[in-house]
Amino acid sequence: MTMFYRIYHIAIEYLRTTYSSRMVLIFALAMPLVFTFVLGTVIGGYGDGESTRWPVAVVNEDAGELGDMLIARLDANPQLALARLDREAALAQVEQENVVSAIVIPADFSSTLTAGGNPTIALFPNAVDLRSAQAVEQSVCAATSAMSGVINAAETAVAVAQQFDLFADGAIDPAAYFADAVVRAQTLWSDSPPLVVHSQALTRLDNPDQLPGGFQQSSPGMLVTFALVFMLNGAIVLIIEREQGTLRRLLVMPMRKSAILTGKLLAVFVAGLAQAAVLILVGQFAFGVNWGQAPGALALLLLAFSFSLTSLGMLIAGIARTYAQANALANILMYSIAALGGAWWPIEITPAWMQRVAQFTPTYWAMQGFNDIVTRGLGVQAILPEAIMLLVFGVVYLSVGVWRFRYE
Amino acid sequence: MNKIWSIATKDTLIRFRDRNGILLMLVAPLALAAIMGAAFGGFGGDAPAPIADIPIVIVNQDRGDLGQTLADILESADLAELLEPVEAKSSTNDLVSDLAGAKQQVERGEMRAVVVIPPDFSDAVRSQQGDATAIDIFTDPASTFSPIIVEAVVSEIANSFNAGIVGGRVGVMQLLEHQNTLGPRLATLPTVLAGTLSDPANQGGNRIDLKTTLVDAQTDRNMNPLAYFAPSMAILFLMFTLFDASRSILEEEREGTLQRMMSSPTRFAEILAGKNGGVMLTGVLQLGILVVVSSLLFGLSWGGSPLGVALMIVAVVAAASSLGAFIVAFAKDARQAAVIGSALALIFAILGGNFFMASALPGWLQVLSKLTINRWALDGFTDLSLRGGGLNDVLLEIGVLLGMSAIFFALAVWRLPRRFVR
Repeated sequence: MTMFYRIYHIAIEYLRTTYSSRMVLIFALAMPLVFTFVLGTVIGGYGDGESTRWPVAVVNEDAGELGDMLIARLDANPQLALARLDREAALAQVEQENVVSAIVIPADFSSTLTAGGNPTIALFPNAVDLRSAQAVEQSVCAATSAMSGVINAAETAVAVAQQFDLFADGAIDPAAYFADAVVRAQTLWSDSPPLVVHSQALTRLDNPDQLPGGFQQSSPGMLVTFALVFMLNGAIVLIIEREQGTLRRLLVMPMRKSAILTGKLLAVFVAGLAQAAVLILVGQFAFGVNWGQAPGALALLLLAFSFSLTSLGMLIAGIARTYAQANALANILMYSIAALGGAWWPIEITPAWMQRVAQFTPTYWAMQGFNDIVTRGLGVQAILPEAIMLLVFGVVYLSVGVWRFRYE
Repeated sequence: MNKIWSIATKDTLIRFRDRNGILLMLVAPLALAAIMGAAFGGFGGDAPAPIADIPIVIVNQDRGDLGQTLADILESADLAELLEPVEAKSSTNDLVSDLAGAKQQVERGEMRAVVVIPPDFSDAVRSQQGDATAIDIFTDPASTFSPIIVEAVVSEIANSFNAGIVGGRVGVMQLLEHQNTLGPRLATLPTVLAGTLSDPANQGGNRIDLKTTLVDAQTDRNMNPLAYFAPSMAILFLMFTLFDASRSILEEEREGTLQRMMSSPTRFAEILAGKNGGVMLTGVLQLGILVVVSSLLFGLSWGGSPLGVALMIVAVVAAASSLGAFIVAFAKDARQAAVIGSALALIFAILGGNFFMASALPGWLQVLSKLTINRWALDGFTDLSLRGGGLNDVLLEIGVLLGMSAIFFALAVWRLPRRFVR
């Protein structure tokens, strides 16, 4: 019993000396919330940040009617926010990086298409944001393929009619027949398309429409990043204590070395949990992130996460010789693994090899687990593999850290 | 003057002899820039690879043969770069569990989407009647771009099938209106229709070509994402270094070496000038080394105007070191100065666009962004490196940075002597 009391006493003392400063709160809480807000706004989308609607400038130089038809199709895509401009204004918008792309429908669009040719649409992506431009380009392709489909269908109808020599005697004008076919194909296509594509996000959340745009990425992302900052810095204070000799003073007291370390690490662990709890509450209530939908899973994951970071701090404290060295190591490590693990951007945008490398970081598993909860709406069962991975990382870090740690 | 110089060089030398200092000054920004550059598309220097190799599962429930045709298109060479499809193969032929398993892969984050080809797919394509048949896609909610891309690609393929189906239906519809002329010949319609539809000449595919070009103003652009992130990280870690270095005068005060210096025949102004000179020298060396090493290490071009880069370095360092002096002048003690310094460095970095493209900030955040040293520094460096600009293009940025520097410096100079005279 006395040993538990001593560990508890050391933990409280460490919390008091290491974390009591009001300044620390700035980094533990205020800074991550500012970052969550700004990053969430940026990821959430352009302009007003309401949703992922990409602003696109569209220029219709077409003399015929098919250009408008294409624009109507593009307009039906909820991901695109179209602005009809003339060419000069549209290109200026791209230059000023205000739109993701400019789409220019050429003057001969209708005539070439109806004459059986292939018109060319010019696309001017904003070089600053090629990922969004790529998504827009794919959406444009989907719209043009529907347009082409209508024309192809009408041509098929004409080809069938030709097989029956319908136009041979000149009584029926093939051009009029084709135009009629276009109208029918268009109507059929939009009223009762034979094949439709339904896409839906695979989430078990009750209100999938209300998936918050950017905050579902930035809230867990910044939690992971600033937990690293907070906990690694907390753990390496051990080295300051060694350098100042306070550890040696503790050693002369009648208790085991392990009790001293346990107490101090317990303090880091608990402080980390407290930080996460505050960030999660603000994320839930101020940013509308679905943190609370699986409390059991969340608690389990947080325990494993906090353990792995405490252990990582112990590892650095164990291998660094001086505080300055530990500080440099911790700074490089915390930002690198936060970025690699997908805390700063959705991991999907990184190349496949980087996604594989990411699996060697605890931050990757933490982000996967948090995503399971806040975006996928899953529960305890789903986060078990992630929690186990975090525990494994934690055990390895802790063992090496404790093994290498010098008390004086 | 001699004394100022010797204080400045001594401080600078101490910083560059400290191995841990080097880690933070040089290794950290380079390592982070490398990670960010790789995340956003590699070291190539050409157009960065956009989203590629999206892992998807195809669940083909079709009882006919056309479902496989659709799957083959998704697996075709044309889409090989974009998609990384896997067909759900089940040993049990249990279609329901196939779909459940595929969905689980998406929920585990291993796959970005499941494409479900429905059981009546072939029937729907072949029959001339009937309601809409849906191809379902279930996407990963934790992803932003991949779901939209997968949906667009599948829609494009579905549309090519639709073209055939609709063409057939319209063809029949129109011919039936000419029943009187054609009479009994119409009995051959099904055969003719099938023949026409299977004729490759009538399978037009997407007839509208897309030509992607950069607008003139962006053609000179360096497409290497490192051209953005290398200066970003350099600026962030320059701030850390310089705020830290500015603070050394408070450490010296605490340790008593400042008092010793002041009791020597050196004027306080000389000490201050020497200290600040050391901070600036450190900053110029740090940024200079980062520019040279990043171009050697990553093959990154910092633009065609060495003079522009050099002046930008001086202006950025002047602004950051003046802000450092300002913080020292007004902070209660070294500890407070450290906290304020790190906090400002981080806030400036996020607002200044050091972690993402600054142009993505919404309007009112743009205003805040323009109040930071980081934004002007980044705009200047990227005008030179990304946008291929020259010295003239960065004069505004240099002017603003020097202006900021003058304001912070004046306030610091006004306050500092009062601070240390006790």
